[in-house]
Amino acid sequence: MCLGTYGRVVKIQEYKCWIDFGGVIEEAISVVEDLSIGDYVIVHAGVVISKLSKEEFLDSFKYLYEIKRKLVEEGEQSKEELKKLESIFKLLID
Amino acid sequence: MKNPEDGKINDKTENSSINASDLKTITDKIFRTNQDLASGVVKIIETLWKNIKSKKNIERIRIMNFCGTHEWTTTRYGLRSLLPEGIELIAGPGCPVCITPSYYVEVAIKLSLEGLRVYTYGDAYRLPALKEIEGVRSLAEAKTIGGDVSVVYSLLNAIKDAQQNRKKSVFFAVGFETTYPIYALAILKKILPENFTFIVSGRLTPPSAEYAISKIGKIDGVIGPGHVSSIIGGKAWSFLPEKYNIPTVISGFEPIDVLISVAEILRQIDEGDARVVIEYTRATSWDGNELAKKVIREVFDVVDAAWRGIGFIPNSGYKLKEENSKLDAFDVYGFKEPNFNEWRYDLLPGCKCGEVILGKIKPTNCPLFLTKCTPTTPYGPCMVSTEGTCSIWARFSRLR
Repeated sequence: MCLGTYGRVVKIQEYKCWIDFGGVIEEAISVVEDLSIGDYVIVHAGVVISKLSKEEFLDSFKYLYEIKRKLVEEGEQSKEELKKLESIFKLLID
Repeated sequence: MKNPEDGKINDKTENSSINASDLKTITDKIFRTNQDLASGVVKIIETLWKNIKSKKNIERIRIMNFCGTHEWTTTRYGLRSLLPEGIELIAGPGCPVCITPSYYVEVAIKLSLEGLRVYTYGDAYRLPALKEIEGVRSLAEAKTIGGDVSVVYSLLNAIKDAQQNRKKSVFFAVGFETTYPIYALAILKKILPENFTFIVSGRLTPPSAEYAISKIGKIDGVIGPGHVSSIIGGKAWSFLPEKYNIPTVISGFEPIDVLISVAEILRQIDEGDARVVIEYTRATSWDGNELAKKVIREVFDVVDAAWRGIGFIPNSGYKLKEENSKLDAFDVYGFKEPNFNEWRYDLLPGCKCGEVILGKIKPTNCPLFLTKCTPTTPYGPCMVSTEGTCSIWARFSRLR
């Protein structure tokens, strides 16, 4: 039931909206207040439960980066390991 | 892109550089298939675990998840095999179908055989009841003897169908916090057809998490459910670090999300820290979805509720408020709500789903696992849904 599907809003009519799931368009009900056409959303059993924040897409890694940085500082892991991680992040962002 | 109603091109959407399927591809590349990143996170986990073991003289820690999709990811991608020995990932109560009391299934079967149309999500369709009703135990079996059962993806599908056929209908509303805003909104917006009712079997995850922890003993970390927390917010899990000193990470559902969450839990243990951290920042916030919470509060009360094979857990279920009782199938069709004093253990003999759900045992500790109970012939509720721990282990685990 936790299975959420990523989609994009193509039409809004009051609390109802239509979501493009990569070509298939389905009707949904939204409980997201400031929904706009073009927003990326998570749809769960026909409900738009959350907007996907593109800006925060890579925020998940900030904890990881901090952990890695600390381990390098403490000499537990090499600086090369940190550089490797940085280069992966750079690739992801690009 | 086509307008869904008239098939015309919708110009408003043409200015975007990526579409929904691209976004899924990006997500896969970042969080699912990036082997370098995965091995980098595993190295971090290994180093932190080595530190914890030497500094704190700890040999074993247990990290519990509270979402069937996290268990699916963990098992499907073999994440347990990537972790050093001593770090155990345990599935807790995270499957709403598995914990829906048998009595609710029995009521749904009865109503379907009395000529009402019963709408259900696909994963509750084969859910077996304890008692046979006219020789059948599930809605799927009820349909084979003439029961009117319709599998739907969402409430909207059910509403459309009920508007067309005008029959008395019941929606079997199984689910956790994520599925309940749509019912609340549909009721508040008055879009339900006449004679449309609900079997309200919604359950809340934080009370069950607290209950599971009280039963299983010490838990060292929690991987919190990402989509439930999109609704209730990361702060709903604050009691775990504050009351039990348990590091808690609200996690996304891709394998690298789960690995990052394990790393963050280990960091907290290593540093003697315990707090709620949201890893699933792309979809979840600290406060959650205020509108969703508000509409649920307006329509439902939170009550003590029965969990299958477990019993009553305080403040763990939704019930329609008095003013909405005409939408409650139990009230309308004369069924009694189960209560604490009358609750009876509702698993079939030998089934250990209650212990599996609470994380007390693994599916492989149940003698019926993949013998009498299989995905094609499920005996217990945990073998039915794609989120049931036994079903997941049966399909994907190499630990048979």
